[in-house]
Amino acid sequence: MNPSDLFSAAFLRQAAQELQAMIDAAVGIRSAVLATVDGFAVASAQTDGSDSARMAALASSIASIGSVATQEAGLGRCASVTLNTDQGFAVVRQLRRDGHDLVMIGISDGQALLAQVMYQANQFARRLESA
Amino acid sequence: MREHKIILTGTMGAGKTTAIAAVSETPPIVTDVVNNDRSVDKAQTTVGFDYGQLTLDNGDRIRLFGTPGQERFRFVWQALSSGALGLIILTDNSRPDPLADLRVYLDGFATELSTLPCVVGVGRLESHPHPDLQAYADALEQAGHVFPVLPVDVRQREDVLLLMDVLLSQLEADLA
Repeated sequence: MNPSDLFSAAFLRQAAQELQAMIDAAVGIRSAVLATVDGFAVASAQTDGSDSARMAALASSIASIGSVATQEAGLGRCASVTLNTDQGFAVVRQLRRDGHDLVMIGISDGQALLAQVMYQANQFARRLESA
Repeated sequence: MREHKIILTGTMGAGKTTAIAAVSETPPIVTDVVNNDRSVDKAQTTVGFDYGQLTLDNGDRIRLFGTPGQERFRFVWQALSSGALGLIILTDNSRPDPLADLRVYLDGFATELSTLPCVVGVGRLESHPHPDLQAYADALEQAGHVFPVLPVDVRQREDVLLLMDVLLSQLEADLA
């Protein structure tokens, strides 16, 4: 799957820029990938050499399991999933653009504050959805 | 009452989600999303896992976990396999090279298959008779395995139950 099959070049540029902006915000995010819901990378930004294709697949799996879990729990639509570890956070945020459901995963190190990472993730989603 | 975990894996479109839905006594958990891969004519695809369960006559419960079929979700294969009793590999005989497809899962689950029983279910064999069951057996033998191979229509509950019966029989034989 080629991202340009689904999205314009302008959107792909914007996505890449916004992901880079998350890293440049210096809140501890070291990797960020935007993916289709079925796990194909659309855009990415990394400082840690991580594999964006693998991260994309991970993000889609995590998002789908989060969606099922919230539905089973009667909590409605899952907006995001947070993985809290000894060494940092992973935040998976769902968003929608041009009729396509997308997922974004941001990986942050142990120095990050969860609230700041989630803020960046939410800002990313708002900017891409509203453009 | 004992609980047993069985993994269903196989190529995208082989019918893993359908198979679990055919036998689950509770509404199955499904993590299907839109399929953006236009090389495969399928509207949706599993990206997390499927889950279903059924109770055997002796009161034991079978917990069925279906994996995504695409190799980019290999990490899910390993995560789901933990604690599994056995593996069912489903293939789609209408695909260009079903034996190559089979080898993907023999390789992907190599660690598990060194100890766990396995059954191979071949779908769409009636409409696509080649490779035949003997070819599958030969391919398995070349890979160092001797597993039962059965034709299956995963839309039919009895076919899916037969796959599980054969798998459980293997387990009982190993324990004897």
